[in-house]
Amino acid sequence: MKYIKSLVIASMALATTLTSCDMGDFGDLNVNPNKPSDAYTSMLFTYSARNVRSFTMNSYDYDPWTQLRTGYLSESKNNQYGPMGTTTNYGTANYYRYIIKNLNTIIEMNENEETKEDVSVSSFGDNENQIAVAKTLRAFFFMTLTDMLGPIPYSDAFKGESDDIWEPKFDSQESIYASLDADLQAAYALFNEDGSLTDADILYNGDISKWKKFNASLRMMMAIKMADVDPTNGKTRFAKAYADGGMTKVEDGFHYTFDSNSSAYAWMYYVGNPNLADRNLNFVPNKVIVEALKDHKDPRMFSYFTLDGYKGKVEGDPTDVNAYKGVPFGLESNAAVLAAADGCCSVADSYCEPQATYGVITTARTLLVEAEAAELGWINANAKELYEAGIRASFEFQSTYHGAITGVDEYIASEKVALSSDKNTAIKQIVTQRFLAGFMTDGIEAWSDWRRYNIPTLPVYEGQALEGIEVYPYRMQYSDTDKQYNVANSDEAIKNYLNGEDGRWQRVWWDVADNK
Amino acid sequence: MMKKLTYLLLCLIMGIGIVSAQTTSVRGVVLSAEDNEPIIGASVLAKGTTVGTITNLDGEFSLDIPSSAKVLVISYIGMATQEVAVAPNLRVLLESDTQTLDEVVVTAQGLSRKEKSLGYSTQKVTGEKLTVARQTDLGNAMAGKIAGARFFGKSGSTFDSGKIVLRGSTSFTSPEGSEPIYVVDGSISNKDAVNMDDVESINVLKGAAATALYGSQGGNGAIIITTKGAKEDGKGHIEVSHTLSFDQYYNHFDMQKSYGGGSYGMIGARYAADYEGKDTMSPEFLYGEYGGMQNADGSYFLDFDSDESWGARYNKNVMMANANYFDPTSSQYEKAKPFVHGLDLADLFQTGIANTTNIAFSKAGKDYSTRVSFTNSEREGIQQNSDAVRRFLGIKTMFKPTDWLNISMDYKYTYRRDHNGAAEGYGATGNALNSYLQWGHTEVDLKDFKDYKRPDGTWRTWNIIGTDNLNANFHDNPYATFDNINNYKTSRWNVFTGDAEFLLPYNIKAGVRVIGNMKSYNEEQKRNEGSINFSSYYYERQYHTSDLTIQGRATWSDRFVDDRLSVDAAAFVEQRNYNYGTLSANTTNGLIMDGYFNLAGSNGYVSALNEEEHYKTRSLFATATFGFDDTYFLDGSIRNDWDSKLPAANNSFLYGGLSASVMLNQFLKYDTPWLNYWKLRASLAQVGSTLEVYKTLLAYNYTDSDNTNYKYNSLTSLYPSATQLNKNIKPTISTSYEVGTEFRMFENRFWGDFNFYRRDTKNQILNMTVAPQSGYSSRQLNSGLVRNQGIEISLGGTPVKTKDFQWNVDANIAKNNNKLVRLNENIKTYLLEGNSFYYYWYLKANEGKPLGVITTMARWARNEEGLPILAKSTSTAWGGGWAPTYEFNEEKEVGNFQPDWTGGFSTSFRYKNLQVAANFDFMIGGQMVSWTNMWSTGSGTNASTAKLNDRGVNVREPLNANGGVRVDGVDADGNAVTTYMNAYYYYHYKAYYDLDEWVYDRTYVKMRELSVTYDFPKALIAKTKTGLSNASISFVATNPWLVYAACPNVDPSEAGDNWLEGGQAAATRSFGLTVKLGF
Repeated sequence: MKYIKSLVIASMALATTLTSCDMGDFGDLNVNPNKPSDAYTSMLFTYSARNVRSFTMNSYDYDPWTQLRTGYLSESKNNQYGPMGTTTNYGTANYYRYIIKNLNTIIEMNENEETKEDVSVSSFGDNENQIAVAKTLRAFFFMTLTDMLGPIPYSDAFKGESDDIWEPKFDSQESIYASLDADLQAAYALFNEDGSLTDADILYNGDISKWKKFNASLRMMMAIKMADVDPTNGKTRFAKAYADGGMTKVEDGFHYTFDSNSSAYAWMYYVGNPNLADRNLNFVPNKVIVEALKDHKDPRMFSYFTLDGYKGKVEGDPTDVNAYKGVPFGLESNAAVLAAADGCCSVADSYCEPQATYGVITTARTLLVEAEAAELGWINANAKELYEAGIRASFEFQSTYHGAITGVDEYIASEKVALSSDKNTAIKQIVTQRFLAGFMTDGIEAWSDWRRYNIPTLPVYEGQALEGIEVYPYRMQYSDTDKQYNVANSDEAIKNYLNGEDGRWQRVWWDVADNK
Repeated sequence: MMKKLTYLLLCLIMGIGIVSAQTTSVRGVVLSAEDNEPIIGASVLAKGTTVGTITNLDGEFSLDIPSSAKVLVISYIGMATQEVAVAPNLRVLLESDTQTLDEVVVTAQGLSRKEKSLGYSTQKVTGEKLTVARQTDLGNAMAGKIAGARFFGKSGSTFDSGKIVLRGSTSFTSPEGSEPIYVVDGSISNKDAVNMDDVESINVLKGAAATALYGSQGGNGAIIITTKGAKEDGKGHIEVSHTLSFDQYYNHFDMQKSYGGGSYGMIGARYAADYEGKDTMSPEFLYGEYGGMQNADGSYFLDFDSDESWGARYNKNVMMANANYFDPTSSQYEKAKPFVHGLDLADLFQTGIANTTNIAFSKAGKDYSTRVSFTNSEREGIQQNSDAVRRFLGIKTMFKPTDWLNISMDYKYTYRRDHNGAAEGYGATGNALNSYLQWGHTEVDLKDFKDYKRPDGTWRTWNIIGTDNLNANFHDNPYATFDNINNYKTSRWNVFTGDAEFLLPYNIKAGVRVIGNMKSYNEEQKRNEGSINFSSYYYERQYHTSDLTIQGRATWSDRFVDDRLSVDAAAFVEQRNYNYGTLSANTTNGLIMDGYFNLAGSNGYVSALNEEEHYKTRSLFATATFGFDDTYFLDGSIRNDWDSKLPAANNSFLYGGLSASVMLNQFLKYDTPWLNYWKLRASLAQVGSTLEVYKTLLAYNYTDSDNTNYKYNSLTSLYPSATQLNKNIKPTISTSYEVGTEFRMFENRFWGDFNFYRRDTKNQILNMTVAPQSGYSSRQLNSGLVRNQGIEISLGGTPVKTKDFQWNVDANIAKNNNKLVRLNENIKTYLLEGNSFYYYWYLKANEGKPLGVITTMARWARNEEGLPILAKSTSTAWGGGWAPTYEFNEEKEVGNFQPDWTGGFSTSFRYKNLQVAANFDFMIGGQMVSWTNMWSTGSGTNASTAKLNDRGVNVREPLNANGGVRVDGVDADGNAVTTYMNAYYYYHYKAYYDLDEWVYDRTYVKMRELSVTYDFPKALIAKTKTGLSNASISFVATNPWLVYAACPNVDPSEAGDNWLEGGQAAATRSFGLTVKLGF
């Protein structure tokens, strides 16, 4: 027995020695050395700002549906996306968990007394401007998401940690629009043009006056979409924003310049580049935009496209609009696509430059939205002047960023372009000009125009007909994540706002026009 | 066989006696009572002296003993010891003794325990059973030999050693289950760092009761490997063996051989209303894309730019121009070929050759033991320009500087280098089959493209863009990619153990052990120019890990109460220190000069990334085993860990186990020859596990998931973690219960082991998905209860045993029921993985179901009877009849990943010195998604797309020629519809949208190994007088025969740990010859 006793004593002594040195104290061994534990608002902002390009195309390797389904691009090798059976839903997770959340964090850090003076905040610029810019950019993302999907979580969103709301309810688009307009106005009031932000603001390089114009333009873009459903509020909001002042000069435009990181080169670098056509999913001009430009004898054809591009040298006079051929979207087989793409033109080299600048929301679009409002009598302005200014802004944008084009005066004076005195015709001309100017810009805006005015006409081909498609979709469906992890609320939204069906041919709130 | 083996394993200490003046000479022979065969190496000792000897090869001995000695003690392992009176000439017959089969088993932390005393299931496999076929990797060698082990094999062309999982999965991050730890001579090592030539035996510890002493690392079981030591006979020994084997491509794919390449669309007929009226041999089909054109020599064109086989029917009288026809630099320029089937997948591969050599030296005496072993294995793969090298050096030493000190030092060095192992998966570079079976033209004769390099350095391929653009459209020349893409993966392990044990009074031993496992890894990729599909490139990644454990221990054994009570106890204190560092970098935008593979050769900027990980675990643990009357045993263990990976306030956790066993055969009143051993056992244990390093404190990300740096030019961009971290996260505790019994009957001729277990894993640390609009897409929570319960049955025996002939059989089968009992109050489903082409297949954890439910998001709409719901179609593509309707974005459960039964079967026959052995393994149930089947159907390469329909006409023929796929379905109102659909559209739309179709059972039966061995008779060898003591020669085959597979066209036994087979690497079978010599 004494052995046992001595063993017990020995082990107790050992255990005491060990426990007295606190076995559980590891210092800061578990602090991640590979990632920063704190963030600067400037770095959070850069991340969010990079994502404004995502509505033009969302990936190099995957369905650029916002350009394909708006008549701008088509497939050159496959009929993979033509039948539109593959991208049916849109996941918003990255916007909520990263992109918009970063903007919220910026606002919070600038409002919080404990952090607002900290170098991690103040090094980006003054507090008010940071808050105003973050709110403005946040509104742009929310507007785009609701334009795609209709009802989305808004008032309950981001309340997981603070209020334990892990399944936020969906709000109507109508209420989101109202809230965004108010939020943008509040942000507008905060802007201080004496201040600026650093170059971490990759969109306007810290120029607050441009952010103000973008803020007002954004409000006008939302208000004009309300023309068919709530013209009273639309008009009021539009008039206020117009009075605040939208974009006027080309450099006011909300543009995106791609960066030097090869994983983030310009969209067309990988999928339209003649020297690097290696991704097997190459995209070429759609027959719809090519024919529309042809129809208008539009010199922007020469700035958008090339006869000597990824599809090889095509015979013809590059200054003759009739030399250009586009590819129908939605044929029935790969072989049909290959045949149709024989001799087609390619997207111009300037779009394939790694650091190309693409317009997202251009001054041309803003002016043409204002022209529409003028035609509607919402603002006291000359529609013709705004219309022509819009076209000039588009030509100037192309000349500045994508190769000089001339002949804008002649173009504006041409029969098809000259603004009609008939209001309905004039509006169609205005929207058509938005389509013609919108190549490789924010595709969701172009899609909204099509939903409202059926401009351009998007023909349904055999491959699409095989899928039972009669008309292009009106909205995106909710993602699997929404339906699997927020079941009750998505069901509620579908029931209340989407006629009980999360379908692609259900309509968002402002979309009531017929597209068939 | 058994006797020879035990002779080899002889570990009796033979005292060399003092020879006194007065001696008596004794001679004799020791024979087995059973078969009168001489017993070699039996010990003969004069009782009461240290004078003794061992019997020679003929079982004979001669001994001079002191005259005082009157009795000889004759003993041999596995035989009853006999005492015989001294006589000048003795003939001793030894009976086999089952009562003395007190086998000692190495359990956790290197503790030795009597097999009897274990209250939990272990399974021991001897080295010779593992090395029969001379597999170089432990994983492959173990397949089918362990009850309850699921083996996920990989194809031989990948050089991968597969993965073993014991008792099902508890893991949400790897639903196939997690690997056990591999403990080699006391060090936690790695499966890939085990030299099969050194393996003496393995002991598999499956349950928590057995592995609790290994802490969280041992939570998924432990495989304890004991390597060979030296024979303690004071003599030097040399063992040499060499294996030469040949690897061959093993085709599982059933290719259609009646129709050629193309997209079934031909320019002329593509839009024509009379599409269906055209025979596939009509000019439109034959012209391919260039309709209306024909070459001057009358030959036709192919759809070069297509990569499907929906072209015209073969006809040897039709001349066809392939890609080389248009290539002025090709020897086949303007030479057309008859339009016949030409694709032979075997042309992609060569015969691989492997040479494996082992040499080992050993010597041991009373106070020392040393064994040094070196193995070199060089293997050329079946893909040209692929090879693998394995080198193992093992040094195992023990010495006793004094009576009270044992020192042992083990060192194992492993070098593994894989060069261009075949890749798995869809579109993976290095998976050559992808372009010829998931896609491809079946008329392509690959031999025409072996000469792939044009004078300007570009490569020829069959899949050109057009006659005026000879670049690859989708698929590069396979031989060119084999030669010009070089991937190297080199691992080096240094695993060592140093142990000093002090023998103290009162049967106490105190020891200090240092265990080190240091790995360095280097990976390189070099790509040459020559293709439009990629640019030249260089990539390198390095990492180093060091995993150091310092352990102090005290062990104590004693017997009390007239030796009836035995106590074995041990206590440990341990600190583990883990460090990892990696650096990777790659060139961008090509290289400044082809062939200059250096980061300095990057055309663009150099992309680089480094990471490190550090953590520590401190532990106190102890165990004690009590035995009474060698009949009742009770064992307990307890362990407390402090883990730096947990939140500081919550980082201590305690767990342990209790087990008991009783020897039921001890209760039988009389000696029963039919029941030699019968044990009943039961155990209960817990084991804790923690989370990954750096998952408790917020950090921002600056790269995306594929490590692309998120800088905008020089500006840093950051985004937060999408997971809400939990400061109160606790460790996961698994609780296991186990009851079992094992028996040996009829003089050990028949044995069996039955085991039932349950393993409940509670409060797993999960990132539970939440609606991302909450601001997070997941929350870190302790949730869930995963239950694995099952039975494991092993049976074996020797049905026939005569002097010359013996037949052995071993079989095992296990069933594991895996179930997610509970997830969370609110959340009932958890997404494990997802994979899509157009629509998703998901792998999910759904409450009440096994982990790894497979669900699909799109399919053809079907009624309750499973008949497709058809809609009237005016489309000429469908033939103007009916077309399928679809169900999109609706989730449906179509299978689950967990198998129902796993097991194996091995048998061997010995006739005199010739032995034939075969080993099978099988899996029943469990599902997988097969993209090989999906894509080969969609692209028309597999035979099922060109079969005859019920009208006796090939489905590919036009509908008005009685072709087409017969579809029996219903219309929207439920009325029966029978229609014939255009084969191209039917199969294409199946591949794209009918996701349920591509889910298959994983069931298979496979012969893993087959061997024929001849042992040269010892007497014969002795006569050579070369010092040779044993010699054998074997013919071995590995993977010789996939007996049955439920999933066509692939080998499910080589689908790895994937639930979705995206494209299998080429399967292999190998045949070889092994020579073993011992000196």
